[in-house]
Amino acid sequence: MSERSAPTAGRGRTEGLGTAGAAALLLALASACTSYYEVPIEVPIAAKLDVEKYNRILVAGFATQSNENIDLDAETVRLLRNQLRTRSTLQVLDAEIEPLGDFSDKTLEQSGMLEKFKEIEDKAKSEGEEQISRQEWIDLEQDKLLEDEEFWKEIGEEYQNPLIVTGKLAFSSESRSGLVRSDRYTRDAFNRPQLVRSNTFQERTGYVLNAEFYFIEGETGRTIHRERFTEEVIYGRDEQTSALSSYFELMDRLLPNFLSILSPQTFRGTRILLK
Amino acid sequence: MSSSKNPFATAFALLAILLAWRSAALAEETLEKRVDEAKEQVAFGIEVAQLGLWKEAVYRWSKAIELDPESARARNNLAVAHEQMGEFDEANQQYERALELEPNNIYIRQNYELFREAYERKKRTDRRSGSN
Repeated sequence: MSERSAPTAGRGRTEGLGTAGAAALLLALASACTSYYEVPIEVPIAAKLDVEKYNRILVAGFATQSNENIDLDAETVRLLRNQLRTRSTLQVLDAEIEPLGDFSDKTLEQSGMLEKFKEIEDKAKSEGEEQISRQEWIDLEQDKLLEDEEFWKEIGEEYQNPLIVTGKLAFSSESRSGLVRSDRYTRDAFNRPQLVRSNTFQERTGYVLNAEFYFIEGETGRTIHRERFTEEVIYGRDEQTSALSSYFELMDRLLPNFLSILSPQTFRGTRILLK
Repeated sequence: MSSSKNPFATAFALLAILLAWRSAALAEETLEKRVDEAKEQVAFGIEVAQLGLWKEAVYRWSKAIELDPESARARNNLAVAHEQMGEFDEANQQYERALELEPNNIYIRQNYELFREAYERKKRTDRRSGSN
């Protein structure tokens, strides 16, 4: 903590001002002097879930969807378990749980699920019903798995009723090429700086991670909390970044918010007290 | 015309002026005294806040605002205390009032901008929540 004396009205520059102006400014600054004290603060943010009654947590499999060649389920389970071990008070269970299902185009095609969807779509059309998109259908299928209370109750019984974390994960790369505005300064004939604005075409790739976490009570199989996060990162053509690195970068952004559901968080900073 | 004829009226008028002047002076004196007391409370609040006694600091700065509702410093400090205690809505209210009173105070503005970052983040996290 420190005490300082400083003007309230700003850090004025007197260069280039006339003598009278500078004198007036100094007078104004001197008369407006005040003491200030810098103090560290720690802002408490309470956990969203009361996890006191659960001593143990089980990160179960996820329903995944991706157009990239990464094992979303395995990577996420491993990452969340490690994070929870170090940053929560809950005992993290190590258990082999089957993934809830891969809903990527390639897998759906191989398993014949796409044909099933086509049949549903055709039937809906012939009955004059509103058209359903493939994503809506995937969401419904995933919801069926995630809201199957009997299934989660069985898992709960097997692992002595822990808090279960599961959910949906979608990770994809998308083109973000387009016109990007750029500002640069140049100097004119009189050496004065000038702002030049221009639009240039840039080839860019964006990675998007959509995650919806379900917190399920092992004892009843009921979902007690659900939370969705979306993160995106964009890379230029020259930046060679793998899908897996992008996934980790996006998960790093998302993790503080995920952890704030289960454990209290603290934001640290400094503020100024005025006398 | 009437005053020259009625000496009592002149005396009354003079007395009224004298009383008005005296009560204005007294009011000013009282206000000055209250402002000084408010400053003392602000300073004491800072001392206790530096010792980590934020609840007492809240009491001191609230008292300062009672004494001098126009004190932007007391409101700024009270906002910091509310922030420290996780009372974001109250902090927001006090920062905004402090800035209304002293819009050019760079320290209040800096505090407020830093606070808004944390506040917006918290609100975003709360909005994202899809709890059942």
